[in-house]
Amino acid sequence: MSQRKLVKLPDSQMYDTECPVCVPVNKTVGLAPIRSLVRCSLEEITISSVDSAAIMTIINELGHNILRHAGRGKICFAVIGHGERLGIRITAEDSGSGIPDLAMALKPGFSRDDGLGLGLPGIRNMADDVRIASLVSGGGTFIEVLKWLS
Amino acid sequence: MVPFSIFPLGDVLLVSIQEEIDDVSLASLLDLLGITVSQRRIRGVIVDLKDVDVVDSFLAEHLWSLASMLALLHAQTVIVGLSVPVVMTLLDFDIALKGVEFALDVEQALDKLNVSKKTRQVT
Amino acid sequence: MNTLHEYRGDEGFLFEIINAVPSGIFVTDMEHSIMIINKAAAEMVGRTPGDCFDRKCYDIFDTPMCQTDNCTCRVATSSGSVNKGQTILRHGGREIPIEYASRPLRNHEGQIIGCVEHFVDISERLEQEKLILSQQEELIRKREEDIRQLQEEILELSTPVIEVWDGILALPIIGALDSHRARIAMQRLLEYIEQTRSPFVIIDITGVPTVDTEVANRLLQTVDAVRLMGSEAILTGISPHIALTMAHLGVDMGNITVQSRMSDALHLAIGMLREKRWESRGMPDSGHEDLIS
Repeated sequence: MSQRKLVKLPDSQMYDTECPVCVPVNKTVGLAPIRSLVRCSLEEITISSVDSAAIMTIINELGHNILRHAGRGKICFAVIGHGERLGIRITAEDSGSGIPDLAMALKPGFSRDDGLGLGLPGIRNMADDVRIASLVSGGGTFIEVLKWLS
Repeated sequence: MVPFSIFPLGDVLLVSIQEEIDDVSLASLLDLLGITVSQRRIRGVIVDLKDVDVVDSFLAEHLWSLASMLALLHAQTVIVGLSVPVVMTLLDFDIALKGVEFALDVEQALDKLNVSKKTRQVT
Repeated sequence: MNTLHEYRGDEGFLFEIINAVPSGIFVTDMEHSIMIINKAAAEMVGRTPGDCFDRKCYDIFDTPMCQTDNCTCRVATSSGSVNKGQTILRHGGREIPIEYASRPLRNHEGQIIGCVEHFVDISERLEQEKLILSQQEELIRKREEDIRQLQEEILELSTPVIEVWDGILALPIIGALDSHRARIAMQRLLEYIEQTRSPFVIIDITGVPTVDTEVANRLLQTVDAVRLMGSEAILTGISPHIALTMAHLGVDMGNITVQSRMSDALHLAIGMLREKRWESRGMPDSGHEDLIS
């Protein structure tokens, strides 16, 4: 069994993170667990319906990517605070085949045109900070999304 | 619990999709619609998404496939029930839904289908 | 040579005067021994002037700069000029903020023979400054809140959504809109469409002075949004200048319905509404035809 050489991005120290909760994503449970976790968490905080829709869409996109391209993985979700601001931090992790061409995947229009899209340009539009680490041939993919709420 | 329902309205089908629909069910839905539309000479399919809070690029892709497939089977697709947050998100995510018609509700969707029927009869 | 000790002869009257001064005054020689000290200075550290004579100033007063190169008297006597500043006087567990001024003392020959120290307890002044500052901050906060409210009202005024006909909304855009306001205006419009179930929206840009790529894109985005909601947008009020600009920008106006004036758009939309009603209910229209020539 080869050791997972997943490149993990260093944690940013600029916010006080509340405990992230991680939920598996796979073909057996689908996206239902992570969706309900996020939905319930969002109910605890004051958030606009548009922001809420955006976050749920990000979760869906990341989750579908995992299901489609890696089969299984996990998504972690946390509400974070920085002073008076509230935000959310989502990480999606899998040990699939990785994203071969990161630059292409992030180009706008890629997600629509040929069905191989990963919805990444859209996520980048919607979020404040997106960081991706991906290693091909079994290395897996790690995506971190940060979004501050208005 | 099947995450969708199909309701016949003459030569139009009303399809209602539930929030938690998965890839597999969506694929079955498309298959089923393809068969039904050609067998019963359906000319329009109204897809009601009011129970869907999140439309991501995957669902959008399936909807686009559906519209393309139905167009080839001489049927028109009209989507109803998109809420304001969903529309804002679709725009922010730059998810395009070209080649699909939209209506405010089922009643107006029927209007649109009737209008195009009239147009088609005249020509 | 006149030494400091000789001046002490005039003590009585001099001391009456300096003891009347409410701020602290003391005089030290070049070895930091207190030669003269007033009541206020001594009382600030819980003593009497008598306790302090001939004692070292750093034994009586405790500040962070005592016995360092920063000692105010050392600075004053070495530089030969007044040394002013603020520091903390530590006494009995308390920290008293003070403002001081040290001046070198010269004899008749002009030689520096000591240091005159004057200091004032500024704790009350600092408290007041803090109070004024917080009051100012409160004022600014209120002012900003007022500005925010006004901005919202301006936004509402500059992009009012009007129901001009049963099923037809009009959105005249007045003035330039920045990204943020345009987004809010679009959201409001969509919510209106949802509430009123209006199949048509007339977006009039007569009041928009110029159009650049950003504005053009936002307009197109709004038209798109209206379409996704299930309505149809009709663009009106495009001036020749804006039309030229948009053509130059290569803006794709492919699928957008355009009319020259809002009244034309209204005619068109009403006509289309009648047509639809006719189709779905199979009954003749209730008589609006007379109103529309």
